[in-house]
Parts: sequence; structure tokens; C-alpha cells
Amino acid sequence: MNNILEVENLNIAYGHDDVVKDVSFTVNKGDYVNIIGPNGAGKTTLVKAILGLINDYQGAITIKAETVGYLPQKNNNNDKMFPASVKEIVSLGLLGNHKRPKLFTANDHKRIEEVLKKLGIYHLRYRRIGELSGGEQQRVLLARAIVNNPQLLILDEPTSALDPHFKQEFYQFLNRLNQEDGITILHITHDTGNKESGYNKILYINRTILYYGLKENYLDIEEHHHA
Amino acid sequence: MHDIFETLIEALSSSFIHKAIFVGILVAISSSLLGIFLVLRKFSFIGDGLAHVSFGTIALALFLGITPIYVSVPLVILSSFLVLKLNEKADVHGDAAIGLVSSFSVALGYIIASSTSGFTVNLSNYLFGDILLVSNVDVYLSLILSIIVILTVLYFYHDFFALTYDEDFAQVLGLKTKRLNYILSILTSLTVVLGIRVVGTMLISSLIIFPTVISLQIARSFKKTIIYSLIISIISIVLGILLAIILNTPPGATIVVINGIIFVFVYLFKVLRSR
Repeated sequence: MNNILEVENLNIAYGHDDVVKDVSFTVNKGDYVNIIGPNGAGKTTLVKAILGLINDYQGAITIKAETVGYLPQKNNNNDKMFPASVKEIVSLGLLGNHKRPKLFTANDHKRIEEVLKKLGIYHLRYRRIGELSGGEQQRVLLARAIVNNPQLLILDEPTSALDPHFKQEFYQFLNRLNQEDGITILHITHDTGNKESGYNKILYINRTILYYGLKENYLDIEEHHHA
Repeated sequence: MHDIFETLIEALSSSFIHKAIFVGILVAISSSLLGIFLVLRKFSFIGDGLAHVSFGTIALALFLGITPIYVSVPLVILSSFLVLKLNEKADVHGDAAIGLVSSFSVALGYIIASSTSGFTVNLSNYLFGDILLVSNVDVYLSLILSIIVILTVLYFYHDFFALTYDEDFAQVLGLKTKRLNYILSILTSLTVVLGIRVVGTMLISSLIIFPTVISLQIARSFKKTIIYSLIISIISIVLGILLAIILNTPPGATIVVINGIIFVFVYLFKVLRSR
């Protein structure tokens, strides 16, 4: 099969509270899945389990991608004085591919610069990350997420810190990653009505899956509901 | 002035000062290499806490008549693991865990010290250190310990950088973050034990904190922060030793005061530059 991710009977509970309940779905290579649902619906918990950040769960998660990229909601490190340059932060994305002592090659540096240029932040490469605006930091983190050419890219509501102008650019950029580079995307978002976004599937979750399938079918159901 | 030079030249030609400077530089390199990871992860006081633990272990070693370093290295490493475990399993916050373990060790050390007559003088040497009294054994042990610290930090440099910046992302990359935390704890313990000879248990955390905090004022990248703090650390230790000889002051305290002065100058430089 052409699966890149399989989640089977996933259950995650905090104490007696079932945050994710009986969740099963399969993502094919090349899919662009928008994960939607109300606040507290377990979207971030689900994604964290897929990423290996939560290990205390029942069920099975199988990832067939060799490389995974991850873009969190916002920069986890909000220390403005943190002495890391943009280039150093982006280089972290390559660590997963390297054996220790994890020395970077000339090719790695070329790849980092290529991604920085692609995202329009090459001129910021020697700046401290803490000095940049929220939107600029998000671009740096996106660069970090894609620098290792991931087969699967997971994004957790990354657009909330972005200005509207860059939001459009951001969606177009994701479309290109999906359509031109063939990267499979899992994208938690509130922004389903965005016309720029080129997703093909929707996973609607409220602790348990309420809908998983093609975008068109979901929109039909939604229209039917509103009619 | 002439006298000062004479004292200095005389001191510089003696082997005890060579040993002191050699050990001082080793400690400077180890402590400043680790400093950045501890300061930025807000674990600055782990150094202080482990130094308190080492006070207890030294009292125990003197009581048992064993060279302190042999007792301190394993016990301080074990205590650093205990701090991590308390933090992980018992939900005790990092700073509280350090406080628990360190005050308990000091109390225990003090009970041992006060129940035995005659070694309070010996113990006070360890409180503030005396680098001018290092023995050949100290030199060899310092060399071995600091080589372990330096090579391990270089080997895991990118892993520690990832861990320090964003532990979640480090985990997504597949790094074993728990294991890395334990390795950092071992290295910190070794550095604390090493530094006791130089500045003593009371001041060791300054060697870990000062050089990093000073270089954070001016550096714009992680690598440069480490390079600047290495330079600052070596300068302050060598200068401290020389000034201590000239002014006849305690070397450990002199090193820390020099660090403080450098901090003020660098901070003023940063403020003036930004105007």
C-alpha cells in the first residue's frame, strides 16, 4: 500500500479524561490532510503522539516516512536573549539525519542556505532568533522543519502568529511542498475556509473522529447541515 | 612596582604556580563549556547545589581518611541523578530538588565534621579552595576529568544545543533527551569536583555562571557564546592567580571578583554600544 502513516485504535487519557478515543486513520503518500476540531478536541495530543512526544497511549502508530518535519504552534523557546543565530536554529533540523558527532558538511550548509532563500529569510541568517518578529520566527521554524527534506511534514496551527499577507504566502508555499516536492502534510488548523490552501482531505476530530475523508465530501455534508 | 615584578617573576619560576595555572586553565575550559547549557536551561544553581553536596562528601572522606576526590566524584554524580529523579518521578521542581539534596548533604557533612575534632581547618580549605596548593595527583586527576568533560561536550555538542533550545524538537529528531540530561549531570558533577580545588565549594557555581552570562551580553550565536566564555574564563583564572600572588589575596575569591569586574565592563560596553 501507499501508506505513510497508520493510526490504529489510538486511546490517550489524562487520568480519567479520555483526550483521544478510538482513533484510527490512514494517510497516503502525497496526502495533504487538514486536522480540524474545536479547542480541547485532542488535535495537538494526537499529533504529539504521532511525533513521539507522548508515549503513554494505547493502540498503534506506524510511520513509514524516513524523515519527519515538525512545525509547532509557536517557538517553544521564548527567551529573547537566547544566543542562537537563525542559521544555527535551521541547522538543528538536519541533526536527525546525522551520526555523531554530527558534523555538518558543505552540502548541509548549501542546503540550509537554499531553504533560507526559499523562505525569504536569508538576510536574517546571522541574527539572533529572539530579536525577530513572531512571523519571522515562524518562517525560521518552518525552514528548520523542511531543511531535511521530510517525507511527512506535521504542522500544529502555525499560522496564528503570521500576518495576513504572509499567511497567503505560507499556504502557497505548503501547496508547492505538497504538489511539487511530494511531501505529505498533516496540518492542524482552524482555517478551513482558506481558498489558498490546497489540502485534499479533512480529519475532523472531537476526541474521536467525526469525519475523515476527501475535502469535497466534507464540504457537501457541511452545506447540507447549513441548508 | 619593582617589588611586585620581583614577586611575580619569582612566583612564575616556581613549579607550584605552573601547576596552578595549568589546573586553572583546565577548570576554566570545562566549566565554561558546560556553563552555556546550564545557564540557558535555567539550571545555573545545579552547580551550587552539587558544590554543597561535595562539602558533605569531603567531610565524609576526611572522616574516613580517604582522598576527597575519590569519594566526591561518585557521590556527587549520584546526587545529581537524585535531583533528576526527584524532578521526574516525585514532581519536585528542579530548584526545590536541588535545595533538598544540597541542604541535606551540608547538614550531614556538618554533623560528621563537628563530631570529629581537628579537621575543621582542613575542611575550610575546601570551602574556598586553594589553587596554589595543588598536588601532582590533583594535576593528573584534573587532566583526566577535564579531558573527559571537554571531549564529551564536543562529541554531543549539537545534541546539547538542540536539547537546550527546544527539548520537544530534540525528541522529535529522535535524540534521547533523558539520556542526554544524565550525561550533562555527570559532566556537571565532574566539573564541580574539579573546580573545588580552584575556588572551593562556596564559589564554584561562579565559574559556571559568570563567563556564560558575560558572553551572553555580546555574542549573537551559540558558538560565539561558547568561544567568548572560554576566553573570559581562562583570562579571569590566570589573572586571578597572578593578582592573588601580587596582592596576597585568596586566589579563588580573586578569580570571582575579576569575573564580576569583567561583567560590569562588558555590560557597560553593551549599553554604550546600543545608544
